[in-house]
Amino acid sequence: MCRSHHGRPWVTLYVLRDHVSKPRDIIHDDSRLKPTRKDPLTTLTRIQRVVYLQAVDLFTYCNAEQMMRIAGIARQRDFAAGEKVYSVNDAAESMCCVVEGTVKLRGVAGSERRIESREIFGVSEILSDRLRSEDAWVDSDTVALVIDAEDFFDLLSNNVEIVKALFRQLLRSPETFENLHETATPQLATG
Amino acid sequence: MKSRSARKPRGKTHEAHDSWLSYLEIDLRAGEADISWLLFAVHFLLLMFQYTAKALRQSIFIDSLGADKLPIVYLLVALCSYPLLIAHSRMVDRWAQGRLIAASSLAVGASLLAFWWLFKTQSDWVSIAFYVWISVTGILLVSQFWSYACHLLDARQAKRLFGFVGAGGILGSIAGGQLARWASGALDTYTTLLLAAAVLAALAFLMHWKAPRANIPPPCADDAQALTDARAGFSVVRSSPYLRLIAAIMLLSGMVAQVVDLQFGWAIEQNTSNLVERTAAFGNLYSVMGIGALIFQLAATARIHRRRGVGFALRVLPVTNGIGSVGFLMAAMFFPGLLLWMAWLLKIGENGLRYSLEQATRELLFLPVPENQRPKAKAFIDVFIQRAAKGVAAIALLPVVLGWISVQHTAWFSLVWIVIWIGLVGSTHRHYVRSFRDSLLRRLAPANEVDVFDRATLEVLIEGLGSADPRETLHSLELLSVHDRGHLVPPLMLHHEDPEIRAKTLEILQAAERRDAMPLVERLLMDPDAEVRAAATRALAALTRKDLRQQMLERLGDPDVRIRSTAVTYLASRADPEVRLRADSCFAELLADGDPEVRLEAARALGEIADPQYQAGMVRLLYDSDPRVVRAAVEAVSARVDRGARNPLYVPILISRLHDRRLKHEARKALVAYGRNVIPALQHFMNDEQEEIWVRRALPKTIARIGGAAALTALTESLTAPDPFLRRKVVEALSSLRANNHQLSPQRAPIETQLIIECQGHLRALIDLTQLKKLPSNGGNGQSQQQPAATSSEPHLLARLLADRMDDHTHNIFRLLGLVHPQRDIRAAYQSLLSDRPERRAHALEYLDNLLQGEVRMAVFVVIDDLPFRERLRLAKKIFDLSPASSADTLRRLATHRSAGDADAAWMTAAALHYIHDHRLTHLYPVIRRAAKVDLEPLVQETTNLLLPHIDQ
Repeated sequence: MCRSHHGRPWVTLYVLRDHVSKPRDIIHDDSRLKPTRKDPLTTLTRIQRVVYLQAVDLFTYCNAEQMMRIAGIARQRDFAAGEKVYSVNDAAESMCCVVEGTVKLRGVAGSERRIESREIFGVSEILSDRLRSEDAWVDSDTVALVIDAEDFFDLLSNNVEIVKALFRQLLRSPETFENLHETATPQLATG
Repeated sequence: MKSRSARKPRGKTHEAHDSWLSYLEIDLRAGEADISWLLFAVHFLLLMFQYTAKALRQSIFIDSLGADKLPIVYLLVALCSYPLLIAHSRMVDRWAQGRLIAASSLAVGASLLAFWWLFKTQSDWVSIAFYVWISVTGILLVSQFWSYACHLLDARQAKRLFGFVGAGGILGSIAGGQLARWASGALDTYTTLLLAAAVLAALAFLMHWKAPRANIPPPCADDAQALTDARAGFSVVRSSPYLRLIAAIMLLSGMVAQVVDLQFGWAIEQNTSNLVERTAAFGNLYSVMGIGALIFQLAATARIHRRRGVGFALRVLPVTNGIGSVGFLMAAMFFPGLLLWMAWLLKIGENGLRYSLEQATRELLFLPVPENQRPKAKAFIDVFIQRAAKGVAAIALLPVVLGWISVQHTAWFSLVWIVIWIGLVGSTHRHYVRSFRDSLLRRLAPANEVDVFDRATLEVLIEGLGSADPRETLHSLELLSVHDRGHLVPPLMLHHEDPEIRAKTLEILQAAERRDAMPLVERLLMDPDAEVRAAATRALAALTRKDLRQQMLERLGDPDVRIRSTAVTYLASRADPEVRLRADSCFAELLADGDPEVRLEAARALGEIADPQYQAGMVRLLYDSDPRVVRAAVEAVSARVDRGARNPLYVPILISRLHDRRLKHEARKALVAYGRNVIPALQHFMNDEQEEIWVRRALPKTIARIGGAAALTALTESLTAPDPFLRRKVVEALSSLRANNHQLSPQRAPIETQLIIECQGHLRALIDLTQLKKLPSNGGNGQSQQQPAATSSEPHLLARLLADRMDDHTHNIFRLLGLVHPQRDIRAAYQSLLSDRPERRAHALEYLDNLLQGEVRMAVFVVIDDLPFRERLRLAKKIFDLSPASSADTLRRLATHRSAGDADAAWMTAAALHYIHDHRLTHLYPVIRRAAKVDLEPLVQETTNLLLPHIDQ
């Protein structure tokens, strides 16, 4: 099913059929306005933030106006290769969308995952209000959009339509729930 | 009492009238006298007719066929009443209710004349037909009367006045019995039919001349609803063990009542020798029963509920019936001379209790049933179970008709049924307590439906105080407080961990004058919660009846900021200037403290101090740098406003705080507390283009929360807001306003005008979106390409913005339609239009096609109808003069033209510029270069700064 068919069925009745495709088919070719660390433009513009965030799975069902609001609370952060993003049992205070570069995640069991461009990480701990269950460090120089949990929840508390859009995506992706379950380890009494 | 004192002074007669009504605890308010007396009189006449006719019905049948044939008519009544009820509900849909009662009364009166004539034939079937006819029409006339009364009085009036109206009925039943007794002796039993017809004629006359001419709808909807409810009630009753028990009790109770009726009829037959005597006996019976019910209702019902509870009340009827049945059996076997007296006692006891204690207890049994299930369950039991009881009893009593057993032996039936009945009562009472506890847990029991006179209910409430769930504890406290049972609240509740419960307990202890709680109250002066401290101060002052001034003055120097702020709260209201000065000085120190925790306490204390004291301090805290302090200050304003102080000084600050997501809810709550007087200010800021846009966008919901006609007018006047987001909020606010108050009817003209504008906007966005699709990429004008064009099949941001805009217009269209048409139906039509199922879409279109008219219909249908795109375009051109420009011109317009007042319009411009670059539309690159030079909007500048280096490569 196409994105808009879920998100805005009215429009798909007769308009966007030819404009849309599967969300996973999003391919930004290299010629798009993709910033890199070598790019003279070191700061992402607001429109670039919207463009990148709308390609993130979590926000599949958010409309453009909602993406503008989310982009409004996202801040750009540049990480150097080898830099630690967070460690196991850190408080979960933000989530990150990788614009450019690679981030590696390692769980307590030793399993590793690579996060690449247009992927988001650190979400499950935010949504489940748990401590970090993985170490995250930067594999290659990385540009990321960071969304603070507090700002994000403030935004959600004032925009029920965004909450609905997130729920729609969470219900569509059982793997997201599984991730939430896996990371839902009890809070450690570390004081 | 307030309303009474507010009335204009009136004459002595009226005062006397008021005083004796007040003595009877009848609260008849201004403007209600005419309608109440009309209902009283109509009910009197109706029951007078009914009991005259019932006495005649019983005596004529027994005289003609014998009491042992009564089960035949019981069965016929059970079989005929339900089909007649359905037929009645279908037939009467064209009659206004007042006229229907008048017409029905005349028709039944005419039928009595017909029966008077038919009785001259001395055929047995006439007695049977008369019995069934009187039974069924009696039910219908009473049902029509209560339906009419329910339409004339709203729910609150009904609660106050139904007792008065019901008293008319009881007096009517007494009079009816005596009319039958007197007339059959003085005239002739059959001639009494003519008097009963005259009573109905008087009723019809009264309804015709005195009933209000207001347009009271026909009762079909109610009756049909009752039948629908009754049918739906089957599944409700089946799924609930508690309701099944109630239904079983009602069934058994109805069956026993039929046996008692048969026994009494037989006893009368045995002890009377002619029709006149029998009619007199039945007439007397109904009068005595009426008096008995009245006395029992006034003297015993409330007392039994209060002292013995529902469990005891439920057992009274079966136990008295059981004793009566044993007595009847004993008399039949050993003391035949006492048989008539036993039958009398049994019948009077049965009927007297049934229409007083049993009826009131039954209403109590339904209280713990969830509100959405209650009407269905009650309707099912009223419509089906009561009739089923008659039918089952009739079938069980058929051996009497066949002569297999005598009427005396039917007492055995009663005894067996009574034993089962008593057994079920125990289970029902246990379920009642459990269900009630569950409903308390879920806070389903409204205060006005809780009967604290019932011991079981009171036990549940006391248990609730110890609940682990603070909501249940608080609910129990509130219910005890509302019903003046504060003395039952233990002072140990002051140790509860929940501050709200501690504060509520203090309030209750203060009201109950619990001086024994003073040591505990004093401890709470150091409570961590400001509200609890303030409540403790108030309670202490009230309980000691002393001035705590000296005690509090000493506390102004306490190192604990909470104690200092409590002392300030108390002393700030003193009249003594010296004391005030010291309090002011202490408060100024709190206010100026560098520690936000101290300022936070100051802000909390302000909520407990009466306005306008320390208003300058309040303003200062509303602008504090710490958001927690600002939040506490906003809550303090809210608390002051709730106490009636509507200081306009805070309004602009509260409005400005709406822009902060974290304070918006509190600021809105405070503004809503100001009420409708603040609406003009809110409307002004909402429409002020100089005001911050997020403040403006938060205001429609705030206005809608205040509600009322002023809110409706303010929002309707703002429907033309140029900012689409704000306009959407205005439409949403209007929609929620209407949903919460169906009585509000917005002006049609501005809404219809806006509807047409929304349709036009939708089509404009649609045409733009379609034109985008036609744009050739890779430099469709043949220019050479420096870079490959975007290959993503994901809709571009520009397309998504246009699609959002279409969605916005569509939502607005349907919400606006919901303002001038039935909201629920419009919402259902909208959902159906979004359905994948063609038949649902077709139904929705058909519904809207019939509902909408004129220009609105034409405009809306261009948007929603299933049309080929070309046809939609043709209609858009014809109706709105909208026609597609070339794709390049469309994009150029989107990139350069912004509608005034649209705060997000720059996003469309930026997205259009981005689109030009992403699709390598080189022939439109000059648009980007020009925007970089002339468009100073920061977002556009940011975007052109990004794009220019790429297009100039």
